[in-house]
Amino acid sequence: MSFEMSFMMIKIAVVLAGLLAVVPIMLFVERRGSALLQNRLGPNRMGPFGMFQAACDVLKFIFKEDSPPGHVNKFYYSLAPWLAVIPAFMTFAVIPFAGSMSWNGSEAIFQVANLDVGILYCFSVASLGVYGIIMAGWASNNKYSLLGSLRSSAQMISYELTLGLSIVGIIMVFQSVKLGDITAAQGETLVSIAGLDIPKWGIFIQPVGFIIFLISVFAETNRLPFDLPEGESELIAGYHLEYGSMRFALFMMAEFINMAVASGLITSLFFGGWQLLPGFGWLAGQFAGTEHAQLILVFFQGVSFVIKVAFWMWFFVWVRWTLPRFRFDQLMKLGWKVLFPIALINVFVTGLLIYKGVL
Amino acid sequence: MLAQRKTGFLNRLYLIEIIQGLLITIRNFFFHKKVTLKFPEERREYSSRFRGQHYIKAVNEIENCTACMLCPTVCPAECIHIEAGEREDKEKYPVKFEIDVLRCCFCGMCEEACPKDAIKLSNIYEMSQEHRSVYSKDFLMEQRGNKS
Amino acid sequence: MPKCTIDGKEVEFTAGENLIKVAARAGVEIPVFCYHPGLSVVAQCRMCYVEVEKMPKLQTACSTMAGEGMVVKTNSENVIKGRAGTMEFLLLNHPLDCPICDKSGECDLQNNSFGYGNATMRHSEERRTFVDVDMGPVIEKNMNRCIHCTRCIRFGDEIAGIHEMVAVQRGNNIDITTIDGKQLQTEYAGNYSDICPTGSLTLKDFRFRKRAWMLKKTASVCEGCSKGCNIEVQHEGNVVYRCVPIENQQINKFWMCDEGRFNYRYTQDPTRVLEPMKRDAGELIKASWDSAMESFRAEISASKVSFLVGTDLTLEEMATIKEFAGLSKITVEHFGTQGVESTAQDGPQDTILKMKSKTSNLNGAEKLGIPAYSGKSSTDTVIVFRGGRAVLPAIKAKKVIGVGVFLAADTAGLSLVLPGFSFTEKDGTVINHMGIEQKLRRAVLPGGRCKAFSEVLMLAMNKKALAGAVS
Repeated sequence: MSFEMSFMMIKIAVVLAGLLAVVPIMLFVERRGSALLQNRLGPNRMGPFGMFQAACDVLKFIFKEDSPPGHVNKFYYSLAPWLAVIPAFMTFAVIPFAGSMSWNGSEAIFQVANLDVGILYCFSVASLGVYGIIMAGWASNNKYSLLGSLRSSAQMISYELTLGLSIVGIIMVFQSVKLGDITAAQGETLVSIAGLDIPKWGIFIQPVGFIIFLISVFAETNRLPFDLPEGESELIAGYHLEYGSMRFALFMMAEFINMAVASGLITSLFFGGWQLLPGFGWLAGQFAGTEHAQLILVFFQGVSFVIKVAFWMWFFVWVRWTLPRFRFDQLMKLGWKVLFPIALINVFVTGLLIYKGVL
Repeated sequence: MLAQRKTGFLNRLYLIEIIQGLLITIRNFFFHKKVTLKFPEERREYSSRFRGQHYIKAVNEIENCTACMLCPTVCPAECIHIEAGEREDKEKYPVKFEIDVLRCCFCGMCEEACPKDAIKLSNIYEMSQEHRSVYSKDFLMEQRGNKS
Repeated sequence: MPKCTIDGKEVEFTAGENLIKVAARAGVEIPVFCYHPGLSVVAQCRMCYVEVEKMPKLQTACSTMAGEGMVVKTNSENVIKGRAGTMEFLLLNHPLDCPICDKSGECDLQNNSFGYGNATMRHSEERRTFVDVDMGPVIEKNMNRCIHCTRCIRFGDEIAGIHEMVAVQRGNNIDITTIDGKQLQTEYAGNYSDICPTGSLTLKDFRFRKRAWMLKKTASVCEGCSKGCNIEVQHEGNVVYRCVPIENQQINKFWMCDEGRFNYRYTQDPTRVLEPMKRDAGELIKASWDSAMESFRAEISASKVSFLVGTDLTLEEMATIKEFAGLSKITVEHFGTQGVESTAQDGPQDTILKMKSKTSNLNGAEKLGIPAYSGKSSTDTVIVFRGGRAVLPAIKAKKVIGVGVFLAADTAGLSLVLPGFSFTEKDGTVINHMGIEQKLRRAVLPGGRCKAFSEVLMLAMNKKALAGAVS
């Protein structure tokens, strides 16, 4: 096996393991975090701070009897959760989680696949996830599920538009759709004010685009305040109403992994991806000239990336327990009549600024 | 019709409000006192007027109750069933005194109506049982959770 | 007509009426204890104080006859004070045992104390107590509660015609008791409990069984004899607890006899037949309505049948049975009390209320043209319709079928029993000895699987109806 192949295998394993680890961690964070945000204690019986609660939840999911209801379409019913979870995993392939280093003369990039289409691949695969939801809602043969999946499809399609448009500005500025290039380009300094270097992160050059992207990404991941497909209070549990045990867990996994992917995208596009956090540069500098300097730099880049992603994952939870759910018409109004025009204007303004040479 | 509020552009964006909301929740996350009670270890202090499990007050193992039927009369849930009788040391006493706790709404009207200070609601609030239960007179006569 | 003024209202009156009656017509209530409209006036309790203009002191309304132009105040300050004072005196020795007392809830002393008495009392001395004599099987005496209104003494003298209750001792030691502590002799003893304004005389039958305020009341007619006394059936939860007389000046005034008062007991007798019963190898065995009606129909169509209706049935039931019999050419005769076969033989049993005919509707049976049972017509089968009170005569027939209310003791000669409704369980009309039509009212629902006579006859006629109707 060539070095490239084995390195690729290792990267795939790391990414898969990381994404799978996200699920129990987020299960715990979601439950405990929601409790603390609401002045409760949350699960605190299993292990220190209730940390093993996630393990218990997972065990419960695994050992619960999986009996599909009699009125469902068995084939699509069992297919749907996989259709939801697989695209979620696939999307992460193009997100770089560290810089590159040279190794035995060849360059090793810390990204599963550095595709030329880059971010476009992300969107195209992520939009496949909606099939799982629609299929689940339809195959469940239940009016609430169907309503949930209908809402989901309308919502996904509406917000994919603004999602795509919001990053056109970024693509125009960095002149690439490759996430690796975009992330690398964010390492440059935008302005230097009183010795403080402000990096050329997407957030600083595309603030409006960032806000639109953030909102759209919330809608795409079906997280509150846009969790209309689930809508516990109105649709019971929406599209996964008829699911139990591990199949339900798959939908949950899909949601958490979508969150991770969304956080990864926010980080890569607007927060410099693996670019070192303030202070980490100095730490990495301590090892300059040593044998493993390159490796250590990559390590710190990875840690920076993970910290940024973790913050945005937490942000998802934080927002969930702060904002109430939108009404469906409000959701559509926001998508089509507010975000869409603003995104378009943002594209024109960015173009104008690039033409004038400001960016 | 709802009055249309005139709001400025910044307000209409709601971004500031959202950030304020996020700050409130995160402040709760870090600083606010948590209200959860870890039940079996910690217990809430109830007022002495708390209305919990019933009992019939007895002095020297003779019930105060004279089966005057005022409690079944006021009981809004109609959960008290009394049969009166006569015995040597007491002109009138309850032969049967049953409370269907599943129907009881713990309003405390029986306690209030009782002219003999016989039926009382104690501070005991852990009353779950594995079967449908009707409190018999013997059970009610056990002087559990007496209020002073 | 002469007029007087009561609390500013002008009221007409007839000479000789006392102020309580006149005031009641004016809508003014005067509280009383010793006064009873059916008894003589003694003005003993001093509760009915009123102020009459130009009279220096308060007057007792019961003993003051209304006079032309009299101006009476029942609500002046003096009257209120006077009543409160009387209440305080009456309650000096009255024990605070309302929770135990059977009278509470319908107690004049309670009501008037609440309405006119003081909320507090100044009396702190020990109350007098008595050892009570046994008053017999009907009345339970509790002298501690007595307020010496002497209603009971007067009732015995004036209504029951037997002077058995007396007041012995005087002042604080006064004791209302029977002469020499004998048991009560009168057959109207239940009325002592009714007229007693406190819980001093209560019914042993009703003792501790139910509180008065819980009882639901249904006005009905006593079925004890052909007098037709008006009664109130007091019941709760489908159980009759007691019957009390209600006022009807034409018939029973305010009273009723003990026989009628406790007559309701048989309707709740544990031995009452509440399921269709068939005799099989000498034993009466529970049967379904289906099979019971099967044999009933077989008897009617196969053998020579005659009907025997009790004179304790209502007019409606008798008419239905008679019509049914007419269709099938079956003879109908009535039975009721031994020795009283027609209204001509009926008559008062004593000087008060009781009649010789011990069933309520002898007059009605006669009006419908049903002859008395002679025993002459020989039939194979006799079907007896009984309301529960009529006494079965000696019947000469191969088979006797009973329909209606039977206790186990009455079923000795019956080959088939179909349970029916008793007088507390049905509506209907009865005609008393004076020819007055009165209505029975349903108070409780029949227990078991009883059926009305009309339904039994309908099932007998129509087999198809049976298929769907009978469970």
